[in-house]
Amino acid sequence: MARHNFLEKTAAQIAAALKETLADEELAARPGLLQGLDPRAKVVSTALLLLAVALAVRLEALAGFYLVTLPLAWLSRLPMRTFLRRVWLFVPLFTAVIAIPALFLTPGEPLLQATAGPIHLVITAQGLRSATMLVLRVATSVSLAVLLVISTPWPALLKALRSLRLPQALVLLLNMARRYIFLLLQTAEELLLARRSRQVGRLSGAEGRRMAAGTAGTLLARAYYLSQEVHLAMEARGFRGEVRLLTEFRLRWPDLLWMLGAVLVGGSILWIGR
Amino acid sequence: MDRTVGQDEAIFRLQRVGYTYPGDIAALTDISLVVGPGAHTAILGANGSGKSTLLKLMDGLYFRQQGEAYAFGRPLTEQTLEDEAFAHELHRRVGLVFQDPDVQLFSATVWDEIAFGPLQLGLPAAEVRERVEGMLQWLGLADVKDRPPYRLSGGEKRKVALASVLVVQPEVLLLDEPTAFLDPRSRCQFLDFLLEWGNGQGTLVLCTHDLEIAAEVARQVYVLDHGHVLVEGHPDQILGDEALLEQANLIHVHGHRHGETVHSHRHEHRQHGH
Repeated sequence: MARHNFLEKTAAQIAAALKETLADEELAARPGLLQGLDPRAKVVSTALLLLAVALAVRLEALAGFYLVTLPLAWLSRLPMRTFLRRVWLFVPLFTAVIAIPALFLTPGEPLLQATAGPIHLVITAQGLRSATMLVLRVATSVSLAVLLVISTPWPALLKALRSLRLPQALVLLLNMARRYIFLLLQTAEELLLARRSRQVGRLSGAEGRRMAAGTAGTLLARAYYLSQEVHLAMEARGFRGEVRLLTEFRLRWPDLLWMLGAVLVGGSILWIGR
Repeated sequence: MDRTVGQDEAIFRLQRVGYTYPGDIAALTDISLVVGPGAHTAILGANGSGKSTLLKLMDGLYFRQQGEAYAFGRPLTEQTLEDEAFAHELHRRVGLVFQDPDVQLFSATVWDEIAFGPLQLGLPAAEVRERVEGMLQWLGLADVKDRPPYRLSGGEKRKVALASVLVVQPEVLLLDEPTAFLDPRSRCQFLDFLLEWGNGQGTLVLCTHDLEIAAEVARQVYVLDHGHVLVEGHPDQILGDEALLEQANLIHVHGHRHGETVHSHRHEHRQHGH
């Protein structure tokens, strides 16, 4: 069987991204612990826990925070594999790259040493601890954010942000970014499929790059056209720079208890690990 | 006939209007037209003839660069549209349904999309809810009210785009290729809606290359060709002139098979989605 070329891989990845977005909506609609809470309570508690994670100074405290996210995902009936994949795929990409130099550059007690010609590398205990702290801090923060986003329908999340006085321009931008990323992904998929339907044989590397550049250019032009037309469509319906939304949330006792719980859990872990 | 409409009675009056896009691309040249109250006007033209630009100009989204344009007796200029009261009145009284529903559906859910216009125009929350629910029932969209726009079919998107404009209860409806994306059944339903809209008294400006819908709905027709008004008149007179329609690229000659026989005759463009 022929190896998948660039075109097929890209089309498959776009299709997978689209499917994942649709799957997220189903996860947010499942009956579960987090799904049953008022979105505002979830946003506030997530913000509090993120603050606590940022303030934690001990590895044990961060590990405690991270361990709290796992039962939350389980009790919210989120597929653990998806949850862990999203966190741990992201972490090496953006954090490990930054954390690796800390292993070697942080002064302290040598743990491992290696010499290759003129290069002498030393991993210190303090360096290992710093790198682990960084990775764990990011993993815990991403886990909390993923829990919030995956357990809350997107419109409800936006309304919660708005009702918590986040600037409406920001909320509107978030909404439109997601709306049109989805549309542009669909366009990209169609472009690639249309290209593939006319393709005979395998593309050379240069041809593949040329085709990718062409697709990117088309998408950019489409995005530009969309941004202009969407603005006109908003103006046509009375938009004058200020969006008005209807928000209909009601805080109940479980929501208040949840927020109190977040404060207590965050505070306790920080206190224990101070 | 709308030509007899007095200066103060006309809803739209355009006199020798011109509009050029950046890059010296002339979209409209020397356009003169009058739309009176209750007029059902069809603007016919092939793709690229300037129809969409003309509608945006009538809705105060683009501004004429030559000539004069008036809506409800007031000039349509950047200066007059800076007047909040006039902009509010224009967008309350005139509803524009865009050619591409994707540019018009930017909200997180169908419900939010339909509520956008009334909220922007400052209607009370209770009235917004009542109007939105009424519109959802009337257009059979109640089942999809919580769906994001990207999860709708082409026909559903078109219906939501229409609902999002009709909910404001405009006096004038500007429609840009309204039958694109519609299946035959939805197209018939839409035709019924146009004929009944405002008890047949609502003002309608329809830009299309669907000659059949123009014949059913319009009482006045303008034919646009490369940004010029080629001809203006009664639908019977214009739609019966095959040479004129061929000149405007609205019909063309091509082959057809009837059983074993293949022959050529003129053929109209009916539904071209984009």
